Amino acid sequence: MISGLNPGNAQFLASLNILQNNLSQADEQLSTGLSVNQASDAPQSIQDIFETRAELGQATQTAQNLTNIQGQVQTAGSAVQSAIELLNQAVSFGTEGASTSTTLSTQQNLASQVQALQAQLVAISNTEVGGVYVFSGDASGSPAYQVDTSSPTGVDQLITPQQSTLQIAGPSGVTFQVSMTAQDLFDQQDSSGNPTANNAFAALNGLVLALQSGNPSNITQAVGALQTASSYVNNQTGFYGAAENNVSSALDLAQKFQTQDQTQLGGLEDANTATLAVEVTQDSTDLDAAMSAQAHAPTTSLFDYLPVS
Amino acid sequence: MGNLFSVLNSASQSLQAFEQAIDVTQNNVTNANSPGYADQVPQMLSQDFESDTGVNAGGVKEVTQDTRNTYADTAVQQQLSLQGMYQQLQTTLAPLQSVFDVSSNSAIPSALNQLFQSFSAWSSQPTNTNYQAAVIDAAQQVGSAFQQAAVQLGQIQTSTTDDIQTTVTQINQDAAAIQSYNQQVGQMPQPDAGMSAQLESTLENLSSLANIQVLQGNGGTVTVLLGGQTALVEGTQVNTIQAVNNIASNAGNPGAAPNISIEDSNGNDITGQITGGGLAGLLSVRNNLLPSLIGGGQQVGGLNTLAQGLADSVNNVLEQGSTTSTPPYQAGSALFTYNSASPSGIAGSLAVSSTITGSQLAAADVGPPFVANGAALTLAGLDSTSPGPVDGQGFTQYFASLTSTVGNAVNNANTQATAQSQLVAQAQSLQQQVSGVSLDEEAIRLVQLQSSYDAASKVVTVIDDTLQSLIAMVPT
Repeated sequence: MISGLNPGNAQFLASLNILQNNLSQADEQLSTGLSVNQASDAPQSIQDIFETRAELGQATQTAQNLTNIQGQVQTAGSAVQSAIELLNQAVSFGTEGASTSTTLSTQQNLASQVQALQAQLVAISNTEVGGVYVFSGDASGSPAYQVDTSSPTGVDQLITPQQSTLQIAGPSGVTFQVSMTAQDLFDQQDSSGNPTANNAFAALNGLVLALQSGNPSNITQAVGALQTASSYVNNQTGFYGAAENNVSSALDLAQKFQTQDQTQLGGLEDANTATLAVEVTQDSTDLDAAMSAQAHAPTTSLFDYLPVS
Repeated sequence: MGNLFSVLNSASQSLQAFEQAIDVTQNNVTNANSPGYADQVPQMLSQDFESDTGVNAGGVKEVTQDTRNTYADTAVQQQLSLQGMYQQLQTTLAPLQSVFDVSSNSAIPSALNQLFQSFSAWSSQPTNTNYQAAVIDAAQQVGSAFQQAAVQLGQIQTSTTDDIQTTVTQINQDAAAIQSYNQQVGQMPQPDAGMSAQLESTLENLSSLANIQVLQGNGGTVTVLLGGQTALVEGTQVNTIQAVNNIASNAGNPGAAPNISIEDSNGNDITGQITGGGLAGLLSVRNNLLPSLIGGGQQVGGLNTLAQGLADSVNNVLEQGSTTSTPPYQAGSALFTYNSASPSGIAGSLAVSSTITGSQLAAADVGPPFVANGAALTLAGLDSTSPGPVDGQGFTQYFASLTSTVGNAVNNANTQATAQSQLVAQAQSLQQQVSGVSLDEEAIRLVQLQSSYDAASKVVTVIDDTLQSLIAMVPT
């Protein structure tokens, strides 16, 4: 005998070790529910597993971002609708004030109501969702306007200049814009900083002043200017409609990516319990058979048959 | 009468021979399970005719035949050498799998995912202080994960170096044991089965530690060559080996751990000759795999390359960006810091700048065109850019390739160790067929020898009776 252990037994133990390794690996996979528990289990799949996890994390975060943005875009769209209604209401007040039968007292009263609408439009321009001022553009942490009756437009700009360059990334990496500034919507100015015909704040303030003056001709002119500004704001609703569609499509895509990545990850690392159950049964049977066969192997030698004197 | 005495003499010598043969058989049975023991077969030969003493042929003498087979022994030693290497690789590589964990909680990839998700969330609201704080927090997690991995790999590197020293000590101890055998065997009149068994056992142990070649010398001595070239034991001369830091190996990369070299007693580098046994496995991990991961010798190490690539890429985007959305633009601050003076210590020193605040994170890309969250968006997509920032790969992809390297090494070691255990068992089985003790054969031989002994003793009894009768016939 060269080694301390009979080579036949050594070979049996080596084979037994293989079976036991298979069994413990199958047990580990069943208990964790994963087919890849260590890098050595499937070195060729590691790259795919890690990358899919990263993509899933990215898609999940993108979906979360888009959900938050969706709320902001919807609120902004509704706010613009409210602004249009508000401007239409102001046009009605102006039309009533422009009538020759309207008394000065009524006109003064109407001027006060339009002033209230002016304050509401400023409030709309400062619409806030979860700490984000949706019409403040890049400076989304601050309100954009405040009422200032002494100003020619009736408001003061709190952020100068106002710009909205913020891009939102979709799951495929494509970026798009989802917000306009209050200046773009309600406070259009020319290159010299003077209000243009589309400036809703200026038009509203012009109507207030015209109503206060009681001059029907001025009121009619102010109503005309307000209609132009209202029409401009109305045209901008298309931007928010498109933004809502973009966000919604991107969110759908992000959710599809999530499902796709989850499925792919499952395929890469989830254990196949049916296959494992068969494997465990086979290995257990093999183990039992091997042990049983070894137990029945003769352990005697001819020495056992020699007569004892 | 002279004839009767010579027959008595022959019978007596035969009895002695059978007694020796029974002793040999007993020795076989006793040592049936002794490591390295080869079956000793008693050969019964006819006595030579001795004309001067009058002893004639008819008696027997015992000559013990050693069944040890050099080829079978060499085959076992070679297979043990490979098994030793793969089993050592299994043992040494196992802790690496916890550093390069593949679970969803794996420190580095998980921290990297968190970091890029925090960049993404921040890009949707660049002025949100909570999101800014989350970016800094996630970056700190990344730094900690890299530092922890560097510490763990450093510990494995140290423990592997210790194992190399221990293995070298064991090799030298075995060499000393073989030298002692050579000294004793030279003083013995004939081979001793027990000593031979001890030698074989030592050679098998030595084979599992290193690749050796055994040459039979004069008078039963053996010469042991390491890697087939360097004499470890030559007659009564032993040449010890030693493991030393190869200082020249990390020239130009002073922060890296030097490779380990094996030197013979003359200081010659014989590392390249070690291709088998546990020592080869340890050297392979210590001088090749570990340096490729954490640095060593001339290698910077993949983990350091990844840490530097990440820090530089992120810092570059932030420093090119602006913290303000209107002119004058304020450049952002670097998020990560590391010790650039030690390329192989970057992972261990990766940290978040201690002075950075959320407001110093530059979210804007000054363009043109200016985009308020352009830098943040670039950072959010940095891991999936093509080509990637680290050797053309993304950060997660690069880490995955390091993990795959470790996984492949462990997988290969497991597969080879399993196959090798079967090959060792096969070689030992062949050795057993040639040199092993069969208890059945020994039992048969014992019965035969007992019968022969009985027969020889009967001859002595008959001659004794005849002599007694003859003496009784002499008149008194």
